[in-house]
Amino acid sequence: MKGPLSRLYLIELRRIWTVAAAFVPLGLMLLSTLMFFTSGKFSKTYDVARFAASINISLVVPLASSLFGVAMVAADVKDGWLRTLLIRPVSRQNYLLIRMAAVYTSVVFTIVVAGILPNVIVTNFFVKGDVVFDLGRVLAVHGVFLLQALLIVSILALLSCWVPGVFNVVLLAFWAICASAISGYIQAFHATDKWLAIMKDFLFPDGFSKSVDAINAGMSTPIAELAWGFGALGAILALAFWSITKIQVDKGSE
Amino acid sequence: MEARPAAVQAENISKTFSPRSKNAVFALKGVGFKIDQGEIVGLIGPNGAGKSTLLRILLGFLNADGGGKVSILGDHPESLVTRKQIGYQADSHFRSNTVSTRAFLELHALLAGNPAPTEEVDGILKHFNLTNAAGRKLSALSKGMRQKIELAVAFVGSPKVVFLDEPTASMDPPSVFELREYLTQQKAKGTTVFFSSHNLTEVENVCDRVLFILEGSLIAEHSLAGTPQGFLEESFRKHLVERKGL
Repeated sequence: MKGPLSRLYLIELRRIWTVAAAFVPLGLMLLSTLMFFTSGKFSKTYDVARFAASINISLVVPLASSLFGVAMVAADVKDGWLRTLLIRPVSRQNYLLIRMAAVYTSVVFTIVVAGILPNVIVTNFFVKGDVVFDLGRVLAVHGVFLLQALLIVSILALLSCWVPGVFNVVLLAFWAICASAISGYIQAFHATDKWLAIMKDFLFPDGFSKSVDAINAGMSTPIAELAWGFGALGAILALAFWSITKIQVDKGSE
Repeated sequence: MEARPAAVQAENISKTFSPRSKNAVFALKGVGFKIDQGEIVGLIGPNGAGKSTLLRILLGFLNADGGGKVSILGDHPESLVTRKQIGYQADSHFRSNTVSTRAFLELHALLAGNPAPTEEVDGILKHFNLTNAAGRKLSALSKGMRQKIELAVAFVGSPKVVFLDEPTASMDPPSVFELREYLTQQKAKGTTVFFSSHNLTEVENVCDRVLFILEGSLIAEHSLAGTPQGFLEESFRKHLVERKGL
């Protein structure tokens, strides 16, 4: 099935890359270039890894993943694409794997265009102050935020199996906001409570974003944070691949 | 000699939409039937009778209520072995403004197991008079053209059992004649076809047997061998009068 599945992957990419989709990397590139440029122009020290992390983790990765992963599975159920595929000897898991691979490829392309190239250009041509370039840290940070993108795509795939249309993105945003609010509340009012402090760390799968912070803070290998990130990624992928076997491909009635 | 499994076998299929709501819809009630290999069987009934729901359950796209059983060529409808041997034309048509007709058909041929699909796709495009639409995006086609493409997709990969949902609904008369001719050829090749339709003449012209469905129940079945023209209309009217007093 190697040939047919690679063709399916190319078709999935073609389906994603409509004219409107081309504005996602372009728009994000304009926004991130402005942010990198401002940081490069006005900072005394331009730490490449730190700016790459802050702009990608807070802007490019979540927005690119959300825009390409919106209604990832739900839209395919609604417009009949999933039905037209599954009449063929394609397993539901293969479909999800290829769908996620196509979305993730698009997200990685957007990260390169909007999150990496502007940083390279600003670092080389527009920084006024000193440039801090630690290759090991730069590579580690980029590797981890690519994992963060995979995590978000996986969460969106999982949610899209169960909720219609754009609600996978809405739910994810709601989850992140609630987790952040509860975490802030615990930090402010129950900081000494050991159990609440542990619970706070598990409200949202933020192991990879915490790893990036830890790497930039000078920690060589943030094992606990990475373990939490990989654990969450594994669990979410397992749930997504289980969910795709449970959904009804056709929800309509005559 | 080992007996050939039935092309399609359904036992006690029921489906209720929104079962816990007070507006629950009982779409299918204990439907059961068997289609032998090589038969062309029509499923007819008025709008909302449960035809599309039945087809979707047979194909595993929709879950039936507990207790029912479906097999296609003796296997589960969702098994990959079964999927290699079936084709389906849906009543709603997939659109895309980035995928062309040819790419769509070639993908289906590849997935159906043809490693070099160009020749097969050329033949199907020619047969369904879609050669001019080959390079056009699916969203740029008329409803009738998209229906023909869905029909073409159903026959890609020379499936043993084909399910058609209202195949002539948006077609012009010449296309209906072509489809009739194509189904006759498929029958000669031993392909089993199960199709739902409102078009009694069409069903009468191509089918060996017909199943009547009304309000989610199969109310009758008739063999069409040797029946006079107009038999189906008369019979359908009679069943409707009996059941609904129309």
